[in-house]
This record gives sequence, C-alpha cells and structure tokens, in this order.
Amino acid sequence: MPLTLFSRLLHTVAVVAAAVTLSFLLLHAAGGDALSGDTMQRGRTAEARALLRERMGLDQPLHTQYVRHVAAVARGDLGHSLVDGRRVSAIVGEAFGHSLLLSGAGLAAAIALGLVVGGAQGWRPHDRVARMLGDGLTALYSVPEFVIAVVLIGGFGYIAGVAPVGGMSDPLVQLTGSRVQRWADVASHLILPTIALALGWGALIARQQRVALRESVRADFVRTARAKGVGEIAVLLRHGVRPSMSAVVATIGVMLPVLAGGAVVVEAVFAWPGMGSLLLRAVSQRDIPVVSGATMLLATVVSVSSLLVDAAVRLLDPRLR
Amino acid sequence: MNRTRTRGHLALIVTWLALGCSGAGDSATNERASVLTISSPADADALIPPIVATTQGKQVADLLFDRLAEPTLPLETGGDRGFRPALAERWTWSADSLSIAFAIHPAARWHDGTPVRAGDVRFSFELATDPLVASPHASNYVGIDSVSVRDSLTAVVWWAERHPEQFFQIAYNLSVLPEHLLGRVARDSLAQSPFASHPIGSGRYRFESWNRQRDLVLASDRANYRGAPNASRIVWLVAADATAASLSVLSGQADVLESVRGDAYTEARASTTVRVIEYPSLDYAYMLFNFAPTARGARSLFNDRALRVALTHAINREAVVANALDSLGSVALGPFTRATPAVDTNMRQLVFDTTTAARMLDSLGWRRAGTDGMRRRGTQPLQFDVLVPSSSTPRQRLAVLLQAQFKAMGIQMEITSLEPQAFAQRLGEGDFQAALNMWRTDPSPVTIRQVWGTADATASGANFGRYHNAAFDAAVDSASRTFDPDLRSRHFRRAYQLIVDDAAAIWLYEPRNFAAVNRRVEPMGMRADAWWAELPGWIVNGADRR
Repeated sequence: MPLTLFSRLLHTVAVVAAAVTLSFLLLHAAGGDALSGDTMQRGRTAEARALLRERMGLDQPLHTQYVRHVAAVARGDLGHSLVDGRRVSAIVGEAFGHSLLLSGAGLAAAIALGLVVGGAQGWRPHDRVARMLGDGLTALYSVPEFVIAVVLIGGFGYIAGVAPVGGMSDPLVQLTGSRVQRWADVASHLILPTIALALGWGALIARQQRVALRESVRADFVRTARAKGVGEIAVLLRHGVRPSMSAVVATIGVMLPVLAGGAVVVEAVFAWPGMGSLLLRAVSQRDIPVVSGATMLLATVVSVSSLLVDAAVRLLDPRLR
Repeated sequence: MNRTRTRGHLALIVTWLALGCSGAGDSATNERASVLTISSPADADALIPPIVATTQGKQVADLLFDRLAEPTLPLETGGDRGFRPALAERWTWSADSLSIAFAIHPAARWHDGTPVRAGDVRFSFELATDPLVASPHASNYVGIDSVSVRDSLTAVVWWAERHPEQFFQIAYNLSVLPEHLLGRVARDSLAQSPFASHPIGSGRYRFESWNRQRDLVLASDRANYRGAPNASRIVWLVAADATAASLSVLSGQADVLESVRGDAYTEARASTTVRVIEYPSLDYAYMLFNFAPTARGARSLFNDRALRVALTHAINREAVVANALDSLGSVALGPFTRATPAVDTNMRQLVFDTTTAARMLDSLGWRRAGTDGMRRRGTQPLQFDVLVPSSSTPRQRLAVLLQAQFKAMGIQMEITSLEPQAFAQRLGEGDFQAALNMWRTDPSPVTIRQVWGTADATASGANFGRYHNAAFDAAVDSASRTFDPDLRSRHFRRAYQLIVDDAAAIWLYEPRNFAAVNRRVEPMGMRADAWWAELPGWIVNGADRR
C-alpha cells in the first residue's frame, strides 16, 4: 500500500510537471505575449516597453524563461500576474474557491437529481412517471449548457425576476448587509447557475445510476435478501443502491476536472468569477504565471481526486476489495 | 419533535433564500435607489492613473482623481477655450507662453482629509514620466520640460517650445495624485502597493470596495469642493459575456451598458426598461497595407499607388459595411472619425467603380488570364493575405465580403484569422501583407502622425505598415504648429484629403456607439473619448428603479 501511494504521488508530480510545461510551450507557440496588446496603444515609450519586457523576463530566450519559471515554481513562488501585478497564488486561490462553490452546489444538486430519477428508473423500469422524468432529463442533457443557461436567465431572471441573472453577489448587500444577508445574497446568485449545471450533470448521473441499479437488483444477493424476507426499502437501499453507487462515484470522478476547473460556459454566461473564466482570460492575455499557477492547481486536484475516487469505489463495492 | 425541528430548519432556509432573492432587506433596497450600476465587459486593470492601461481602469480613475481642468463639449484641443476649471480654479499664461501657472482650489481635499497642494501636481508629473513607472501614457508629456511649485497652491508647468496644444497636454492628461501617500512607494512596483488596492483621490467619488473580476464600488464624496455628485454610488459589475451583459441591463440589474451590438441592440430598442443612446466614436476600421519590403527583400505589392486606388474602387464599401454591421456602423472617411474636429464629411472619396478598377488593373499589367479568371502579371498572380483578429465578428464578416468582391475582380485575397495577441504581435513586427485593423484615435488630431506619419514608421512606432507621404507629414506638421484655429482646420483638412487620395488604406467603417441606459437614468455629456466623463452629473431617479 505505501508503495502504491508513493508511485501515485510520483505520478501526480509527473502529471503536474507535464501540464505546466505543456501550457508554457503551447502559450508561446500560439504567438504574442503579455505586452503584445500594448502594440495597439502607443502611449508607452520604446524605452518603457523595453524596461517592462526586461522586468517580466520576456526579453530572455524561451528556454531561459522556462528554467526560471520552473525554478520559481519549485521554490513555491508562483510569481505575480503580468497583467495586474497581483500575486498568482491569491488570484488562483480566489477563483478556485468560487469555482468550488458553484461546481460543488451544481454537483450536489446533480447527485440528488440523478440518484432520485435514476434510482426510480432502475428500481421500477416500467413506471411511467420515472420514465418520463428520465426521458426529460436525457433530452436536457442533449441541449448545450449555453442554451439552458440563457433560457434560465431569460425565463427566471429577466421575465419572472425571481433570481439574479449574473455575478456572484450584489456589492451593495455585501457592503451594507448583515452576515446572514450576505450569505443569502450569494445563495440567491447561485440558484440559476446551479440549476444550469445540475440539469446536464444530473442526467449523466441518472443514466449511470439507472443502469447500475438495474444490474444490481437482478443480482443473486438481492434475490437471496428478498427470499429471506427483507423489506423492499431495505433491499433497495442496502443491497441495490449501495453497490450501484460505485458506478456513480466513478462518474463523479470523471467530472472532477470540471468541478475543479470551473464550468467555463456556465461561468461565462452567469459572469461567475471562477477558474474557467480566469483561465480563458489569462490565456487570451498571455499571462503565463497565472496560466501556470492555475494549471498546476488543476493538475494536482485532478490527480489527487482520482486517487480518492479509486479509494472510494473500493470502499463502496465489496466486490472490488 | 424531530419533525418540528426539521420544519423549523426548512422555514429558516426558505426565509434566508427569500431575503437573498429580494435583494436582502430594506437597507440595501433604500441604498440602491440612487445607485448607478454599470455593466462592464472587463475589470479594471489598475486604479493608479499612470499605470492604468484599460478603458475600465480609466473610467474609475477618472472619477477618483481630478485633473487640473476638464474639457467641455465639443472637445477643442487647441488653446484653453475648451476647458473649465477643475482642481485648478484658474490659470495664468506667462508672457512668452512657455509656462502656465495653475492656482489649486484652496478647498480641495484628498479623501483622507489632507489638503491638495501644488507639490502634488509636481509629484504627479514626475511619477507619470518616470521611466521606472513605464507608464503607457508617458509619451503624452513629450515636450513638457518640468513642473515647479511657486507656492503651496500654485503649480507652474514649463515647456521648451510653444505649441497650440500645451494646455490640452497637461490639463487633459495629468491626473493629480497624493504625494503624501505615494511619495514613498517604490516606483517600479506601484501595482503591488496598498494604495493600488485602496486608492485615495480628490474626485467627486471616493473608493469604497473592489472585488477583482466581480465588482467595484465608488461612493459619493459628499463634502467635495466641487459639490456632491447626483448618484450616491457608482457600481461596476463585470460581465465579460455579451449576452450576460445585455441581459443584466434589460433585466434592470444594471443601469448602463456602454456598447450594445447585434441582437442586444434590437432588444434594447424594443425594451420598456432601457433606452438606446448614441454617442460619438473615435474608432475606425481599415484594411492596412504593409509598404515595407518582404522578408526576402522583395518590393511590397502595395507600394504602387495606382494598385491601391484600384483596390479601393473595387470595393463597394457601403454594401459591405451595411451587410456586416447593418445600421451599427458608417463607412469610414479616412484615418479619423466624424467626431474628429476639422473633419469635412463631404470630402472627396474614392468611390465604388468596378469599371475604373478593372481599367486601372489592366493598365498596370494585372490581366485576367487562365481558366480561373484571376488576374496575373506574367506568372505572378494578384493575390495577398489579410490578417483578421478572431475576436472581432464584424471584421471577420467583412473579410469574407471583401474576399468575394475582390474575387469578382480577379483578385485573390486569403484570410488568416488570428487570436488578438498574435494579431497584435504580427502587426507590431511588420509580419503581414495586409490586415483588417481597428484604431482608436486620440482626441488630439495631431496624433494622427503617430499612426500615419513617416517619423513613426519604425520598429517601435505605430505606423505598422511603414506608410510614407511627405506632403501629408508637412500638412500635419503645419497644423500642429499654427495657433490660428481656422488655419489649423484648413491644414488638417488638406492632410486628410491627401491621405484619402493616396489610398493609404481601404477605409472601411466607423462603429456607431450605442449605450443602453435604464430609463430612470438621465445621462449627460457622453463624450467620444470618455462617455463616463460627466457621470457625477447624471441624474438617477431612485423611485423608478425596476
């Protein structure tokens, strides 16, 4: 076990290093740098541009920039943004927290939705309501997130006016409200993006849950439990749902990169300041320290979480132990 | 017992969410009544004027910090007639016109209560021009010799040479900063200083909060020496996605969206919540030609004026602009816009005329040959490559339309779509044949030479295509030196006509600026260079908020 853990840790380090290197090289290959935009605003003197280029290290050959960057990262110094001068750790940490909040809420709602609908379909495959719910969810899964998001904004935000249409909070409430009001404000801003995420993700989970549950209810141990006189609810929960959960957990594991990396489309449409928006902006501005910092964090989170998912699957399904 | 507790928890959660949905209580609702909310496509990059590079940063900084004088409408950059007092309550020209003494308003205070002094003006000038700061605005001060302090309330600005835009140069460009707070900050790390995240100015709005990439709030400075502004707060909400931004205004969550385009424009026109307001533009889009020799040393195709004229005649600019932008753009007249002073909108243009274009191309030896109908001179096909930024939908559309019109004339135009940073890099390095570029002109018409003057046709200049026209240079030079407003206009008009006749580029379009503004807001003085300049005077009718 310690050997497995060590090898997985080495694997994680290799994945992170590869991700940082690839993002660094790809950004350079795409052309332009953090000062290219300056070309279109000719207020800065040539001397000032040269000074900035030197300060940012952009005057150095690519391999020197890379070695310096990796050495700084190895020392735990992610550096400063080339665009606004703030510490990369602060920028990435802030965006990561926002993404976790949104994706966490979306995932929790999706799991609840998926388990209920998938469970109903798997347990009673011929039930009309369960089938209708499942079909509805599948239909929603085939609709792009962008469309769902815009319909939600238009329907619930713009026309009905029941929820804020964008942003993470109302700055006035954050400035003048009590702690409860401030939290309630953030919660209200979470409603529409959470629904947008949950509808798509929920369909995926429901599908897995339905298939896995149908398989497990046909298994011998379920038949044995029923023959022993165990009640239907107990059979469902103890012998049906629990083993079928391993498939759902594995599906969630596959979704973890999205959870950590932010749902780019939903974040953009709802103006949610998460990792997806951060990476899009940093890439377009060629803000290499921010891209590297974000990539490193995502690669680490994905590697570690896949380790945790493996462990969770083993724990849930006795057949895999 | 458990069921009762569960119900209690549920009731608490519902109340909690209801409070959130309704805007969290009466206090916030009351606060909100006189707040002006702006939906912004991006966050500010910085709030300290010398290091601000984005429009969003400039909007905030302009409200936080005062200038010595404020321009009035219409914007007149020659002399001081087009300015009203701001931080300087009056000014006096020296007899030789080589210096201007600005008398600082004695009641002016920084938001921390410290009086504003002449030393702050000197400090601000030194900071803005310090090479260590590497300010994107440093070149605005070229020609200003120094700033001295005559007494605690009089700052004197000195020039080495007289020119008509002396007053504009200092009054329009310099934002006055507090020396007592910034004097000890390292100049190469202004962006990392505590002041950068909590700036203190002397403007009619003071800084209140800034959640990066989310929102920024300024509050009115009620005790300001220039009077309290109308809106109690100004809030910028960041919404990078155009759909999200337009919906935030249409739903009443935000009051102002500075630019509405496409479907959002149609919806805003039909909306009962907002009205659409047009304001002048300083942007123009054009097909930029590269006149420099190619990497292999070959002469550029576009050095031939007759060819450039033929290419311009080959394009139906009215049709392509209408097709790509509908009513949201006008055909560009030249390297300036209709909002530029001295522009004659009836000036002579190279019109769409395929017969003339074909005749000129034939006479240049570019004849249709072969089965493909494309023009060739000897074995050389008449073809060129155009760079287009992938971020601009109108220019992407225009490129396709231009390609079709050129093809009908036997000219092959290839389109290379590039991401904005890569596009800018290729332009800066001169690595292109032609490009669909957009340029924002400066309020000063003299700055046209930065983009089209021979002196800037260098590796570090903004004359990316290395355009050279001695007659044009001379006309702009004359305009920049004369103090007679009428003569100055005549020189500029001559310069404009020269560059248009020379077909230095194909002048494509000027975008028309339309802002969506909530009907409860009464905007005023939306200038082409800064629509936000008069925000403190905008009236916000609180009771009408949706």
